[in-house]
Amino acid sequence: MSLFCCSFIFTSPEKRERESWGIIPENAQRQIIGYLNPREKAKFSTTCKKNYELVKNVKTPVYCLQFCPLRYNSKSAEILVNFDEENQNSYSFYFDRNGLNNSLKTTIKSNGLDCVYSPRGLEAEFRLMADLCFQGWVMGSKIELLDIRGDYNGKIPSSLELSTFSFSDKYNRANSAIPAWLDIIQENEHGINFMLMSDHWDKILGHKHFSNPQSTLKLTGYDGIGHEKLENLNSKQIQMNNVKDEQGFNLLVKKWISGGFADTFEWLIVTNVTRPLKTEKLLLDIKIRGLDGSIFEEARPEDLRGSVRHNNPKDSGVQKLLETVRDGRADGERPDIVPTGAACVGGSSDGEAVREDNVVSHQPV
Amino acid sequence: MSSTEQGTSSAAPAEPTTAPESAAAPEVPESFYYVHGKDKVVHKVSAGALQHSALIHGMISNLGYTEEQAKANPFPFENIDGDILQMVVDWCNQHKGKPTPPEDTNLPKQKEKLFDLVLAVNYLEIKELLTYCCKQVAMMVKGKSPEEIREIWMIPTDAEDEAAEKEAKKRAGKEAAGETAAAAGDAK
Repeated sequence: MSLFCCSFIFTSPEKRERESWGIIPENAQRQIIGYLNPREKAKFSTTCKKNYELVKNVKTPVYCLQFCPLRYNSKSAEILVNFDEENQNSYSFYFDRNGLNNSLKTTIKSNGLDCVYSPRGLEAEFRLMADLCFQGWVMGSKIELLDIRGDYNGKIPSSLELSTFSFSDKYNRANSAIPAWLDIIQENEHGINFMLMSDHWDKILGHKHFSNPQSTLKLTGYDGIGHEKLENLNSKQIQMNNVKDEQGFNLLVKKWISGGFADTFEWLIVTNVTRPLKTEKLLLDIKIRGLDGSIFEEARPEDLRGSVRHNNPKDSGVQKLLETVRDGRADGERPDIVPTGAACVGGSSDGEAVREDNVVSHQPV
Repeated sequence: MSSTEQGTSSAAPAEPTTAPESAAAPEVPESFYYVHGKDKVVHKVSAGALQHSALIHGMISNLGYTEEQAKANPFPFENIDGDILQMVVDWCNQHKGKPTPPEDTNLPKQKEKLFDLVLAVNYLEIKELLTYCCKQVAMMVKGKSPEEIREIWMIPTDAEDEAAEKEAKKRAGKEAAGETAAAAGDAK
């Protein structure tokens, strides 16, 4: 038994009460919690339910909040709170379905991580506790990156400010919570980075966030992303992983040609994991003119609009397109735009990359 | 530092001294007020030092207390222990008219005293001192595990909390029943 326990037992009840945290007024308690660092706050929140509620009400800046409810064969859930970009400054709440105690309890796991709430037996209980804990952090924190891996069943806040939102659900449920989260995420002038994995794009892609020209999208389809509902997309960067067909790329390139994207547009990448993408389908009804490698080599880097916005011209969308087309020409009969089964395009809605009558061409100054 | 006088609240304080003399003494004579705690020991505090306490400052300005009235009727703080009030008075005198430093290392290290000081300072609304006290309390659990935090701050477990709540409810129920019985007896 620790020294603390001994002192606790041999202290008179009156003295114990006077030395107890409970006698401190709530405003002072909040102030004290404010002086704890985030890890200490997290630890303190696990001492009892009352303190958990208290910590929830003291806002803590959080870099990344990750909810992972279905790890280890659905027997446990974990909530990882990264307080800054360095992973060392993080805290993990661990909820175990096989916990022995029905109340809040701190346990020391073998890896030295002191973790939490071990409600007894029933799955519903451990999930409820995990949802409640996550809810507390979502509601009471300012978050940069929210990463939800699975369906969270608790309440969601009425609005949320963040810069990156990531959502995946390995069960790919039709009643995915993505639209509900999209509704509460506040738009900001710098845009939001979305990293979404789903197959229910019909419910997602129409959202106003995807027409924000400052946002970036990384969309991954488990089964694939179809070409339907893509007309709304108007983001700065669009990456669609595992497209079902080439029509989506074709459609978006045509939209770009006709000036349908904002000036902020940088690039579009589509990939397919199961088969190579066909160039002729990707560029169906799009004529490419003047994409001679020598023209681009002669052109100064600043003449390439897509390059101007990039420090490294090689990273630019136009350069990628160039390389793509150049590769295609060099190989002669190469069926894919790029060997990896990916296609990309980039540039701006005005300038040297001229688009008329579905013709993509380049006129260096 | 400060001398105090044993006596009742109504007794006129003898010569309690408090604030250390500042190098540049103000030309206008400073007014003094008197406070006492649970032990009835009266402490003389300058109006400048009392500026730190929003509660006392409010009482002085709202009630229009003159120095004579204050001398005859020291402010009673029956809920504050004498030694704690002494600490508070000393702190107010030390920091009279000075900008408060970022840290204060003279706070008590014992938990009971520190918690009492937090209560007193919170009641007297001395913002700066409360900040120091809260920092000091927070320091107690730096780097500690949840179990250690619970032991240091004597935080009851949820089970203990529930038992205490049940007990309180039971007691309240008994008291209510006793009152009804007494009322019924009176009516008869």
